Amino acid sequence: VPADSAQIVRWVREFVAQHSGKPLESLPEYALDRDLFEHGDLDSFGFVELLSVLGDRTGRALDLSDVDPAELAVLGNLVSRFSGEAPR
Amino acid sequence: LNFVIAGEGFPAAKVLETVTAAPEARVVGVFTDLSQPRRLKSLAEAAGAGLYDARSLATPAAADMLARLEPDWLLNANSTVVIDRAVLAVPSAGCLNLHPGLLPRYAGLHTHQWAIRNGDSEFGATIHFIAPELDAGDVVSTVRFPIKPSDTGLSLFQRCIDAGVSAMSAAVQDLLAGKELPRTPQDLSYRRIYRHRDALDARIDWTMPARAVVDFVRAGNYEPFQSPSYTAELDAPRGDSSAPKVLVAAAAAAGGGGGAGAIGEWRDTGPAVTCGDGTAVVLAKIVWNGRKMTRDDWDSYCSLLPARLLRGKAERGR
Repeated sequence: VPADSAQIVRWVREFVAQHSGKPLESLPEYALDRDLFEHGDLDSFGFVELLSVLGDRTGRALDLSDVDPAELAVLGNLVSRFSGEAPR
Repeated sequence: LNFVIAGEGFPAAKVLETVTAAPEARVVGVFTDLSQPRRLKSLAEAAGAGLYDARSLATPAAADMLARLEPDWLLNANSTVVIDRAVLAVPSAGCLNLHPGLLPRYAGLHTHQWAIRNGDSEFGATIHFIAPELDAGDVVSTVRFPIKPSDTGLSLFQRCIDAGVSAMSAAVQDLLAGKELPRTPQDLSYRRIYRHRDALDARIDWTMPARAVVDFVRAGNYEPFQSPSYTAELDAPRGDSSAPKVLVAAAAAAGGGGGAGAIGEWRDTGPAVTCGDGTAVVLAKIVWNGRKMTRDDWDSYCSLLPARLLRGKAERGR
């Protein structure tokens, strides 16, 4: 069953909480226009790790040589890549 | 089987998950950077494994402490700590390392960036037994994959880590199944060790052929993150200490004019610069003073140079 956008946003937020060591409840709700890099949510290792985690859970691998990583900074773009839904 | 896991981030976390998924395996300790709030620590705590400072593995004093954990295997994934030989002798079955590079030709650090810089067409990751000498132990398995023309330092790093983690997980599955791991000694006559300091010079050598300049630029591209080694730089202009950073360069269809480093006209995405083989590269995504350069910015930058010439690595006094 393909993951829906809301589920992927939840996974991203849970991952950022674990990666940053912050309690999940201390993070704001993530809007689809959130810039994950600008907010310092992820570093390069965290980003690569997040792609792997999302790839495992959605069954959709994402190779960074096929995309502009800077585009994936925006949560909505990342979500659409893994959900298969068109960007909003 | 008792396992000790050493390392950082996603690779070590993935190895930990592989081991903890097997009922016949037990993680008795995790050595990591305790100052970093990473997922690995949460996973280790959930597995009931003790957490230890990875840096301690570099000292012989860690051997006694490790012995008390009674490990059969030590699995090292993505740690730059050079483990002391007394520590290596403790696990009863051995110590394995995930090296994100092909051995013996690419030992050391930032090897994926060097593979692009060297013009290689393939790269890979290696699982090997840990010997006291860095990245010199017997090879268990090697995973190879092509380097694409579109690869950057970041994208090749991603593929190395993904491939290496899969290979380490496969080795762990074999151990848990009671299989003996293959051991192929490295031919150390091919050995080359890349050190961190070897990879820090960000200046472009404009005497190189255009293809090599393109490779140098893309190997240093970790956009939107900071490269662990270098990001290609242009000359710092007069009166301004900030050197523009170049993230993308493409070999131009048409040749350049003048000698190596000569600045040509502005093309679709950015300026053309002549390389050592007489052909040009077109630069794109040049970041100067925190923002992407426009054509006007480029003209301003050029007006601060002594001539319409980029000296790059030939520049003295930097």
